[in-house]
Amino acid sequence: MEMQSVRHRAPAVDAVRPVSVFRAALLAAATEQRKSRARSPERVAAVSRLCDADLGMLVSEFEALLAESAEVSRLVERLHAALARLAPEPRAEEEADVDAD
Amino acid sequence: MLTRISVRNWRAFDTADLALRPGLNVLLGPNGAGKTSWLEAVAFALTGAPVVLPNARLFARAAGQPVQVRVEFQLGERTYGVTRGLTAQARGQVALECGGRRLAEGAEAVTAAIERELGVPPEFLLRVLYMPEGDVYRFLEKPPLAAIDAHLQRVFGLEQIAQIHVAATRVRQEVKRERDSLASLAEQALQRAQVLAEGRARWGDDPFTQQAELRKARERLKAELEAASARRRELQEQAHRLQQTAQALERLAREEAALAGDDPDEAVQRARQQVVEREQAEQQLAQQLADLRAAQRLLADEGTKLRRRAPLDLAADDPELRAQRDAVETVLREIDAALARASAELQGVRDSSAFLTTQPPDGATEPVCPVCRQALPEPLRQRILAENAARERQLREEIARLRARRVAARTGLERAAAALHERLLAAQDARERQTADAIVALESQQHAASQARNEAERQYRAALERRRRLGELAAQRAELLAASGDSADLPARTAAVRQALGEAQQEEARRTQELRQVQEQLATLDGYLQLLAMEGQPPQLLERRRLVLARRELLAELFAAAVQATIDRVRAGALAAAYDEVARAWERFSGWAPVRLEAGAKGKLAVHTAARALELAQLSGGERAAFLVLLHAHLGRHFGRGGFLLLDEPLEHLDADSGQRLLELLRARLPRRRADAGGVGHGRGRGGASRARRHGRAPGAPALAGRAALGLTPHAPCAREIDTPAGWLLDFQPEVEAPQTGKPG
Repeated sequence: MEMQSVRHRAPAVDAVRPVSVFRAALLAAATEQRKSRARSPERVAAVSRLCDADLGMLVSEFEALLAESAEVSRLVERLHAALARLAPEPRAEEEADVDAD
Repeated sequence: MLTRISVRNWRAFDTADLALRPGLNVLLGPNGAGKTSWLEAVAFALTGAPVVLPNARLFARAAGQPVQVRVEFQLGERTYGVTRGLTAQARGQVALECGGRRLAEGAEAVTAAIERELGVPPEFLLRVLYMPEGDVYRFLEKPPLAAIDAHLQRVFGLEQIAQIHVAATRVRQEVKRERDSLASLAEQALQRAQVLAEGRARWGDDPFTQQAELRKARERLKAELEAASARRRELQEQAHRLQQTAQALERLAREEAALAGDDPDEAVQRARQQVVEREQAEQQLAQQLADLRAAQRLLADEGTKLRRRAPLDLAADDPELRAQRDAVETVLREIDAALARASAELQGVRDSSAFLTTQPPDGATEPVCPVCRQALPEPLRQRILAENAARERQLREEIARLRARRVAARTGLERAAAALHERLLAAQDARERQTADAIVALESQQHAASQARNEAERQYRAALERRRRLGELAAQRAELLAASGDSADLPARTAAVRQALGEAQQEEARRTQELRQVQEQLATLDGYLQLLAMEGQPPQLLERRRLVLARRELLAELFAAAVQATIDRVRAGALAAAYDEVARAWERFSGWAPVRLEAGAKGKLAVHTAARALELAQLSGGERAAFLVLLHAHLGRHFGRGGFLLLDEPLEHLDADSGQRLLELLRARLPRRRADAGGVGHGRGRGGASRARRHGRAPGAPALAGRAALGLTPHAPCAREIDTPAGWLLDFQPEVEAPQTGKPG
């Protein structure tokens, strides 16, 4: 019985699979952000908009970066592009709407 | 899987070739049989570095002969062969081959290629896959956790994840900077809108006219301020001049008061007269001194002459001495005359006595008187001789008396002359001393007179200087009064100028304040007009962009935090997984259950059971050795693709049962078709090799199929193969005759 409990506590194979670990860590970090009190209205809005699709895209991006070259500038460029996809700039018509307002 | 080891001139062997079997290979033999040489040949071939010996040159069995090691191993279906040597010629043959093709040449390139193929860095291989003899205690003191941790990073791709974390951190910082910059822009836009609203309320619809009027007012106030400043400077200069004049007059008055006294001309005249009188007195003293010095010279000459003069010569100048000399000379003449008579008589008496003595009577003739030529009778002659002798005595006495008188007379004269000479010399000395004393006194008077004259001259010069300075002061006062007017009006004029200066300063301050106010108004108006002319982004659009960047920043933060957590958990998880597997093996070996391993202080491992928690150092020697072998076995199997372990004396500290359990554990953990574990041990004593041989005969032990191939030269130690159910033993027995030919593997 004790042996089984020890085996149950032992780290599983997932412990050495970076993507799985990253997914769990990302979920934990997102949960923590949702629980914490944001300081600014922008931050509150950003946390409220955070969804599972965002986290899934981040996991996919992490997996892609694992196969990318180890050059930091290239990784930075890819990460900026991913963030731009997840949070795009306001479109021209939105600016026009703003002007009309 | 290691398949073959070939050495030449290598430690215990001239030339030897060893083919290994799959599974567990155990080398047995006494000390010096060459067991460790085989293991070290493998380590040297794979890493190029010595393990046991401090220097690779010590590998050579015969110095100067080429040393060569070749090791063959399999990875999957591919067979590799690595060759290394020590001499220059052999070093040129260092190479890694695979399937007849050279993958790398040169020591460093071969080492790097082996690391790449095996997935094990050389230091990890030397510290983990190769357990040298006596490594148990070294391991406990310095556990290879750092090497394990570094290797984990490579095996699990943590280096790439670390680069991703660097990139994520940089992206998060850049997004945050962009958001902060945007927040600043939004703040500026908000302020701009507020300023424009305030400007419209303040300046109305025509701010440019007000701007022109303010500029005119600014120019006017500048001119007025300049005039006020000029007036203030002028008054400041006047006040300064008046103050300087008053101070100068006060200074002149103080100096004149200090020089006040009698008339300066009369004082100069008196001082001059005094100088003349002192000069005359000094001249008189100088004349007296010259006279005295002349008299002193005359006295000195007279004294010299007197000292050189004979005392008796003084009679010429002294009448008393001359009279005394004349009297003495008269007496002397009388004495000389008496002496002459007495001498003549004495001579006659002597002649008579001599005649009478030399003419004794011979009987024939009688002596005759020489005077009267009368014959002298003997009695008469005798009587005359007696009378002559008496007379002669009288005459000699008379002569002696006269001579004494003569000496006494002359001595008296000389004494008188000497006394006179002495008196004259004493008088001369007294005169000379008096003259010298008079000269000294006169010189002192002359010195005093000179000082007095100098003092008079100093007073004369002071009087002249006082008269000159008084003249200058009078001239300066006249000049100052001429320049500033009446001195009596000076205080009133100074007070008036100071009052005017205060008013001018107030006027200047008022103008300055007015000008500052106008300039501030103008600056505010200019800023308003510039802001009015500028185009800015609408605050609403900036607000939208702030939302977008806040979302990006949040996503970047989550990403970076998750990457960091991934690094930590993968590293910890991999170690925990490794420790867990070793713990399970340790449970089977020791019978303890459950067992949990954790990193303790300073990176050392600790064993936790349900009842106890022990540092490795607290285990017995055999337990520590078994634990270390299990740890090596697990790490060697898990990290790196080579799948082999090299264990030197692994059962040295174990008893028979523990050794058996450990061998069974090792054999069970070996994959069926790959992975080797090479163990060496002594065939005698309490070492594990003898137990391994004994285990080989134990019924029911698992058997290893196949035969080993061994080829040895006639000069190499011999070996005896033993097939056992527990494993394949190669027992080195130097006393056994070597086989003449090797057997194919």
